[in-house]
Order: sequence, then C-alpha cells, then structure tokens
Amino acid sequence: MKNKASGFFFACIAAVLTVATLVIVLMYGGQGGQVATPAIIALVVALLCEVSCFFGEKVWTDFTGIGAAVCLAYALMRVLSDGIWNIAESVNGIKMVGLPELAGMNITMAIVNAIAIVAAVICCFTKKSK
Amino acid sequence: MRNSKLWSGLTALFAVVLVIAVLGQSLALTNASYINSALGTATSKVEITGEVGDTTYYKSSFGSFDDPAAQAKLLEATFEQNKNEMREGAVLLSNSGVLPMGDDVKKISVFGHAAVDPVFQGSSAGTKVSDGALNTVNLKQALESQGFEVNGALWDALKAQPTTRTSGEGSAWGGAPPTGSAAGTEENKAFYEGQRSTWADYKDAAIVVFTREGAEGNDLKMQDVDDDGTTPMSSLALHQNEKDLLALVREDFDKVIVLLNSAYQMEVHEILPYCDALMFIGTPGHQGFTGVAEILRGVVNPSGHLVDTYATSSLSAPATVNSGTDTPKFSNADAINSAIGSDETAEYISFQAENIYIGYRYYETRYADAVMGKGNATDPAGALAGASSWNYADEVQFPFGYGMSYTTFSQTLDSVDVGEDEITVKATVTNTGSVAGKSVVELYAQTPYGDYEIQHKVEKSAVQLAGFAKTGMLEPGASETVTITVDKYLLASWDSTAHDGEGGYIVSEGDYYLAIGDNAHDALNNILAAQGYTTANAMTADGDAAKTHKWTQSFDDNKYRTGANGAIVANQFQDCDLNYWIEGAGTYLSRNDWAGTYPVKQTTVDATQEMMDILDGEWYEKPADAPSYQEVAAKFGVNSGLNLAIMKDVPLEDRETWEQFIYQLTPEDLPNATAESFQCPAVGDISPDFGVGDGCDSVGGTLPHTVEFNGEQVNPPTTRYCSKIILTATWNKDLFAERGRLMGEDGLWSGFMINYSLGADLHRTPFGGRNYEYMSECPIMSYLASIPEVEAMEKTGSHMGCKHFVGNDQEFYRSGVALFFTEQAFREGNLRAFEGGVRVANSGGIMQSFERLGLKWASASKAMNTVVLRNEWGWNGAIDTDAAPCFGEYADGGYLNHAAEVLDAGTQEWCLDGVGGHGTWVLNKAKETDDGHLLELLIEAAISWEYAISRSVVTNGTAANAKIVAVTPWWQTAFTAGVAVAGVLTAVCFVMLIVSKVSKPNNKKKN
Repeated sequence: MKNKASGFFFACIAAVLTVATLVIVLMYGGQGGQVATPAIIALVVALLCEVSCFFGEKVWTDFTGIGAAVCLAYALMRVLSDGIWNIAESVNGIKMVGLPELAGMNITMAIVNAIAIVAAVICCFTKKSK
Repeated sequence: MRNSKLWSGLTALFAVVLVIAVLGQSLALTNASYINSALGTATSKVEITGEVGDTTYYKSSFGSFDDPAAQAKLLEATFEQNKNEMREGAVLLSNSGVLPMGDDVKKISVFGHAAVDPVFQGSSAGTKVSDGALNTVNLKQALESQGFEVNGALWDALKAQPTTRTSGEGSAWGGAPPTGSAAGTEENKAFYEGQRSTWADYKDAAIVVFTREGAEGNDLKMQDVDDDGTTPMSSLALHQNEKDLLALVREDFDKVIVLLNSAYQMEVHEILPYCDALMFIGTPGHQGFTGVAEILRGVVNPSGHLVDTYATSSLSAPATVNSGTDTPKFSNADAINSAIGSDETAEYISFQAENIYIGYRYYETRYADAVMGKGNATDPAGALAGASSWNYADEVQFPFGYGMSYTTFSQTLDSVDVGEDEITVKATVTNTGSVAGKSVVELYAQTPYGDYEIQHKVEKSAVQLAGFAKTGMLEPGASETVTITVDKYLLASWDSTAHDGEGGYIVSEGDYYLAIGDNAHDALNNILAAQGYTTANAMTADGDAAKTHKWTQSFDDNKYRTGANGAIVANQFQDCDLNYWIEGAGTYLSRNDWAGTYPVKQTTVDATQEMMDILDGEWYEKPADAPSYQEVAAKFGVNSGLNLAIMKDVPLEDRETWEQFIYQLTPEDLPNATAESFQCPAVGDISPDFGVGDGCDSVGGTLPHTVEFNGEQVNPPTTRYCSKIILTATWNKDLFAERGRLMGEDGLWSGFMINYSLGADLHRTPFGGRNYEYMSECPIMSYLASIPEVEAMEKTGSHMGCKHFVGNDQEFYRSGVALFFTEQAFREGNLRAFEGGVRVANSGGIMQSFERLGLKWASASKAMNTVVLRNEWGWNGAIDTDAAPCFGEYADGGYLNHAAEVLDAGTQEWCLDGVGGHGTWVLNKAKETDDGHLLELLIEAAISWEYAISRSVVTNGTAANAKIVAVTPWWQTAFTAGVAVAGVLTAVCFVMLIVSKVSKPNNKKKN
C-alpha cells in the first residue's frame, strides 16, 4: 500500500463509483427503466479497466485507464439517451411515453457516472505507484 | 514517464469529449425537432426569385406580424377572453346571501394552500403559468384589484409552507408528476391555529380555496388515503385537514366562501354545512382570477352552469368500477406478457359496464325510472353505502346544467317547430330580479324507450341535452327571445340489430319530448310533469309541463343510414364488445333492470389465444393485388412545376394534380410527411419545416416580439386560458368561437400549421386526469360546444386538431388499455363528442389516443380511421397518432411500433416522431417485400399532410416562383465541429502517448 500513488486511489474511486453506477442501473432496469445491454457491458469493461490499475503502474495501465474513461462516457450517454423522456416528462409534470417517476434515478446515475469519469480521467494523468 | 502520463490523461480527456460529442450529436439529431422548436432554428427556407405580390395569405386581424403593437393588441384580447371565460364560466353553486360582497366587506382572510399555490392549469401541453410569471394574476392581486384588503401575514405564512401536491410516490428517487392524491396537500389544524391572531383585523370574510390536481398520465385516485396516511377514502372526498380548516373558519367568521379550484367534482356535501357560498372556478390560466374576484365583488353577475354532475359520492357512478386507478388487469396478464411481450402493454382491461350511462345520463335516467316505478330503479345496487334504496336526492348534490345568479329569471317555451331534419325552438327569458345578468336556456330531449328498444337492447337516457342558447346582458325587467335549432340526428339511437344485424341509427317510434329547464334535472321534472307525474310519485319537485313540447315519430331505420359519399353507416365496433370474444363475459348496464345490471364488481377475463393474436398488433399482409414497389416508385422524380403557392388553390378532389405534386419527390422524401412533432421537417423541396401548437387551453410557445419583464427583454408566452371545463360552463357560443379565433391567432403568430387544441373526450368519471382540458360528461355538449370553436380557428390559417380521438377517458394505464364497450355507447358517446368538431366543423386534423378500442390500438383501427372518419363522415383532415416518438433506430414491434398496420388502418402521421422513423421503416419494408401498396399508403399520407399544409399559415411567404432550400441549423454545425476537433485532439494525443511510450526505454538507457 505504501507504494501506491495518487493514480491508484483515483482508480479506486472510479471503480467504486462504477460499481455504484452499475448497481443503480440494475435497480433502474428492475423498476422498468430502459437499459441498453451495451451500457451494462461498457460499465463492466470500465470496472475491469479500473481494477487493472490496482496492480500499480504497468505498461498497459495508461491504455486501460483511457478505456475506462471512454467506457464510462459511453455508458453515461446511453443512460441519459434512454432516459431522456423520463427526465423531460418529470420536468413537465406529465406521464406520456416515459417513466417520469424514474427521472430521479436517471439523474442520480448520470451524476455518479460523471464523477466516475472525472476520477478515471484524473487517474490517467497520475501514477498508480511510486 | 511524466510525458506519458500527460498524453495518457489528455487522450482520456479528449476521448471522453469525443464520445460525448458523438453520442450527443446522435441524440440531438434524433431529437432535432424539439431542439429546433426550442431554439427557433429552421431546417429550410423559402427562396423567391423575381418580383412577387403580397404573399401573406393568412393575415392577423390585429395587424402586421412585424408590428409589436399588433402583438400587444393580440395579447390584450387574449387576456380579456381569459377573464371573460371565468366571468361567465365560474359556477355559483350555493349562496345564502353573502355574495356579492358589497363595499362593507374590505378586510378579508384567504385560506387554503391552494390559495397561494393554485392549479393555474393542468399539467399537460401548453404554456405553463406560475405565480409571479409574466402576465400572471394571482388570487391576491385579483382580490386587491376589487378593493379587498387581504390578510398578508396569513398569505405569506401559507406561501412559506413546503406543502406540495407533487411527490416522488412509488420511488425513493423523486421526480414524479402529481400523484392525484389529496393527502397532505392542505395545511394542518395546528398551522392554522398558529395563525389565528393574523385575522383579528381581517374578519370581514373568509375565502377558502380547495383544489385537486391530476395531470397527463395521472388520474385522481379512487382509492386515496386521508391525511393520516392510512384511512382509505376517495381523493375527491374532503380530507381531515380540510375539514379542520372549515370548522375553524366557520367558528371565526360570519361569512365563509369556498372556491373549488378543481376540474374534478369534489364531494361538496361535506363543504356545504360550513360555508355560506360555494363556487366552482376550475383552473384560471393567466388571468382568470380577475373574473373570480369580480364575481365575488358583484362587478360581474355569475352565469356559468355546470357541465358535469356533482354526485354525493364520487364513486357512485357505474363508470368508476372498471376504470381510472381501479382499472383491472386481464386475469391472465402474465400469460399475455409471455405470449406477446410486455412491450405491447396489453395487461389492462377496462370493461365499460356503464354502457351509455355516463354522468347525468345515469343519475337522471335512474331517477326517472324510480319515479315511474320501472326497471328496479330504487334497488340498493349502486346506492350510497348503507342505503336501503337508491334515492336521487341522496345521490346528487348539483345536477348537470346547474348554476346560480345574483338575479332571477323566468323562462317560457314560446314555440317548437318540428321539421323533417331540424327542430326550431323559441324561448323567452325575462330578468325578474333586481340586477342585470345573463341567462342560459337549456333545451333537453327525451326519446322513446319502449318494447322495441328493450328487446333490441337500445338504451335511452331519460333526458339528454339537445341545444342551448345564452342571452345577452338583461337589465332588470328586460326580456330576450332566443332561438335554438336542434339537428334531429342527435335524437337518433344506435341499434346494433337494425337491418338484420348490420346495425345503424334508428328513429324510435313513439312520443318525443323537448323541455327547457334550469338544469337537466329540472327539465326532466318538467317532462315527467307532462307525463302526469308529481311529487306524489317521489319526484324531487313538481315540474312545469308548460315548459315541454311533445310530438310523435314513427320508426325509421333509413334516415341516417347513408353517410358521406353514399357510404352505408353500419356496425363497425362489434369486436369491441367483450361478449363478442367470450360469450357472457360482461354485463352492460340497462335501465330495463338497474338491480340486475349495475356493476357491483369488476369485470376481467382470461384473454384467449385469438385475442392475444390481435393484441400482438401484427396483422398486415401484402394485398394479393398490390403493385410492385418499382411500379409505384417509377412515378417519382418528375418535376411538374407545382409548389405550395399553387397547391393552396387546388381542391383535394383534383387527385391528379395532387399526385403530380407529390411525384416531384423521391420515395425517400415521403417519411418526412409522416413526421409530426413540435418542429415538423421539410418534405423534400415541396414544403418547408414548420411548428405545431399543442394544448387545449394554450397552444404553447412564445410570441415573436419581446417585452420587458423584470428588467429583461423576454418573448411573452402565448396566453393560457381557463380550463376547457370553465369555457364550456359559460354555455356561450360567442365565447367558444372567440377562444377558437384567438388560439388560432396565437398559432398564426407562432407559425403553427396546426394546434392540437380541442379536447373532446368525455368526463367518464370525475377522476379523469385530463378532465380539465376536455369539455364535459355530456357528448352532445361537447358536440355542440366544439363547432363554433373549431370553425373559428380554421378561419385563421392555423388549423384545429381535435384530441384525443377517441376514448381517452382515463390517464392511468392509458397506454394500451383495452376498452370494451357497446357500439351504441361508443357511437353516441365518445364518437358523438368529437363529431361536432371533426365532421361538422371540419377540423384540419386530429390527434389520436393511446388506448385500444377492443383489442386494437386506436391508431390501428381501420374501422375508426378509415370507415368512420373517411367514409361515413367524409372528413379529409390529417390523422396523427398520440405521442409515438422514434429514436435513431425504429424498434420493430412494440405497442406503438406496428407501423404498417397503423398506416394501413388510415393513420398517416406519427406524433413526436420528428425524424420520420415510422415512415422510414414502412418505406424499407415496402422495398424489402416489393410492396407497392405500402408505398401508395405513404403517398396518401403525403397528400393528406400537404393538403393541410397548403391551407395554413405555412404558405405565407411562398409564391409560384418560390423554392424551398434545405438549411443546416447552427447547432448541428457546432456539433459536427466539436466532433471533428475532439477527434483530431484525441488522435494527436494518442499518437503522442504511443511515441512517449516507445521513446521511454531510450531515455532510460541515456540515463
């Protein structure tokens, strides 16, 4: 642990937030929200990439770090796209073709996912071990 | 190492931006119609070469579109209309003499959370009004404008309370629309007791405001809970906090006036003992509160009359059993989902056991039968809880058509001229009171219910609205004679057994009655009096036979047999009767046996395999005689020199020219003619993009010239008028027409081709979430009230679209709920309500609805969209689905996505599908299956759409030498640039990362 540098901790934060996003996405799907399979795959791949950074600075970690950030960005946009009617209807106080009662989950997912992206990008700028 | 991290980080950063930009661009493009609508950006423009004359074919009656002063005049006129609607539409329900309040009443206190947070409008399409927003007048401002001094401390305390009607019920994550619950929406007793000192100096009168709020997608709850969160009750019943408030106010004030800021009939019998006056005010829109205050002060004499029945129990109507929030599922809903997929949303079934007996048609008919001793009408089935018999006086608080005035009127029936097709009635009204006022002459009819009707299961309401007229302002002692013309078509009944089972309208044999009356119940009493009944027969009051007219008709099943263009009017909806599929599955209410047919339990069934096959929504098959795709496609691409400016004068009957106009396109242009959204796309180079309005009480959007508000220049929103229910309650055809004209002007100034602005679905129950934007429980009231409004809007150049055609009488489970009904109930109820606006007034379009008629989605019902609309009614407007957005990829299958079936049924545009996704899917299917018939259907859709466009404001600015040129909106260019820049930066950084990685070992060696 003493050898771990800031990049490691950002990878941990990104990983934890990715898991949190994944959990919310699954809960969202369980409540009837539309969840695209590629979004789930992207989150899982992002998590694996972040976990790879736990082993310290390796030749591949720059690339897996980038991969994590890209996958998280992809998941963010898919989740927002698929939930846009939920959010729009919630803002307008109506229920039409979306599930406005799930808009809060869409927004929560987006926030957690966005913070994970920030952590993943910072991770790419920093060393994983001293 | 450090360089490697820099490039790694920058690559990640730009790659993230790239992904967001690429997917964001995709998202934006699939939602381009909304973005263009919001930003006011266009995707096409009209280019004219050479000299042209005046191309403003549709002009505003307020002046030039370039003139801010003309816009100001328009706004002023809309505000006046808004106030007039409330002045004449608010209904005074009770008054023990406290109203109007004279100048001696100055310092007043206003109670109720809804006073400071009223429902200005229902939550659906159109301009949103909120307290403090531009042009909004709240209750306090309105009262102060009439010289009242309002208890400011109490007002501010109420405003400071966090009470809300919106909650995240059903989810811990929030973000839900109004729940339809009244629980916790009023301040509690402790709060008001804590404020008691504030009204020591404001005790001249108390005004209490109660509200209920539904919304698009949300009905009022039939099974609500009290403020304690546990005690079950109807959401329309008075909740404990409201009762406590009334008790406290009654204790402290001599004058208590309650205002019902609710489009839903509350159970007012619990309010009446605590108040001195009660008034229904619906929802006020921008400035309707001004009218309320003027009525309270007596500047205006109320003349509104109810367009719904106020029952004692909101749950006593038979329609409440299988609908709204109590809609049951098919008993094998899980099996349905397994068989056809949950995306078909086919779980719910609403068996309309009430038959034709909605609203007053139930209460008054049962009353008549009780008086006449027929049909077991007094049986306790359907009576109030605990009652040993059904008794009208216990069941109804205020009947349909009821309304009080500050003066009194007498009405006499002068003459009735029964012609072959029409009846002409003259009645004289005299103001017998001491103040000026307006009176409504309500004309009702009774048609025979005899042995034939009983044997053939033709139901009859004991009384039905036939016509109405409103007087001008009558000074005390003044009289006015009004003339009412009744179309005898409205007195015919649908008989599914007529013509050896083919079905059709019949004119029943026997005695017919017309009666004027203060309301439906009063008119019925007059008819019963003419028939010899009195209070000795348990009538609520003796009627006045002099206000009736009787004549006799012989049986006729041919008079209304033929529709437009010779089409035979016959049964079309027999498969919407549940018993068609499962014999004996459902019992419809019949006045022949109230006891045996009143629905005392819910009706549901196991859907059979045959039913599930239809619920699945896939039945389109290429016709055997369909031309090949190429045969039809070969006609395209021929420039005939036709454009919009020319086509605006070509009648639809000139099919050849319309086809030539369309054949200038390529087949790939056609999907855009099926794309309806807030910003509709251009169709090839024959018509430009344009906006549409949406909302029954406001077309939405903003006007073009800015005004100053709070130190900023802003575009004023189009005006939000009173809720449709208030407009209808004016019973004033001039106000209906003025609403249509002004909303048409709103659309004209906004450049809207069409406004989906006439809601004609029925108030099937008091719980319907969108009752505020639909007119009435009475289909004939909706029929009659629609005509002036639609005709007036159609004259402006911005079309009227009637919605939600047809049967959208509930919001919960509206997506896909299977409605089952008798054809008589549907023809004389739901369809009749729209027929005035669509067939008679010839609206430019309709928007359909989400529910299933029987087993088929309304948009996929050929019976409705082709047979009734096109053939029987001969109507040529544009037929649009309810919201069926389509994203980048069309999902084949799913309730809203059976595009071939929908198009084949006669529906031609998909709402909120601004990218033409459904049309593109149909075009591709036509190509793949070599189906020229599908391509022909797309051509029909394009002709219908372009015809509507050619008769609208969209033609303004076009000329015979005009061309329509595509334009790329700035935001699309910005997205493309963003993607390119992010892509280049990502690539550069990634290359630098690789370089840094490769060069790293050499650096180590040097070290």
